[in-house]
Amino acid sequence: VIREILVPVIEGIAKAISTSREALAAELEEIAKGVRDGKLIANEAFTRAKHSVDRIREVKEGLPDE
Amino acid sequence: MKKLLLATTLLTSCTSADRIRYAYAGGATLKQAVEDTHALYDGKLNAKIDACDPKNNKAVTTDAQFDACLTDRYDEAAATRVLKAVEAYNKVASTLSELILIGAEWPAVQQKLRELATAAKTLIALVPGADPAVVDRLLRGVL
Repeated sequence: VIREILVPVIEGIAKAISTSREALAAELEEIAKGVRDGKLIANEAFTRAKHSVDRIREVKEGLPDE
Repeated sequence: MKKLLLATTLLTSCTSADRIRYAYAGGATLKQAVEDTHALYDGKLNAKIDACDPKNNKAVTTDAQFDACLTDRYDEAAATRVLKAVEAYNKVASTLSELILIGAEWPAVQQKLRELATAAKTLIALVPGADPAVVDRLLRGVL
């Protein structure tokens, strides 16, 4: 009787652990892909900031000091 | 015994995975805050440049008048400070990315996340009207 109860329980746990591992691996792979793609880096802000500074310099260069 | 070992391994890997999630979520949250704050600054800066550009403003005929029109919050020096702050932020974000990818120890990752938070605060502090304390609120529970 104990074996009849224990075996499905252990099998169920093993299956759950296996599924969790697969889900975990998939999620971690997704995170790694995001990191590799530069999703933690503010590239858009950098491009805009550089463009704005260049714009100010262009206007200033076209003007006399006084 | 095998089951116990398996369960322990899973528990350990989950803890490590949770930390990677924290580091990634923290980094992504900070990036969003930095992008959003900078977008607000950039919008105002470019509106100022438009308003002060001699093409649109006949009263501006000299470099000094252009500087005066932009005001010290949006002049070349201020815009350059913001650019440098974004550069510094991105440098720390790159290192954090590398640490996550190589599966570095949590204390090293956590330290870099803290440095990223400091870099984000430095940048946000340069934006008129923005509150650097938002970084602490966003990272509550992560660090």
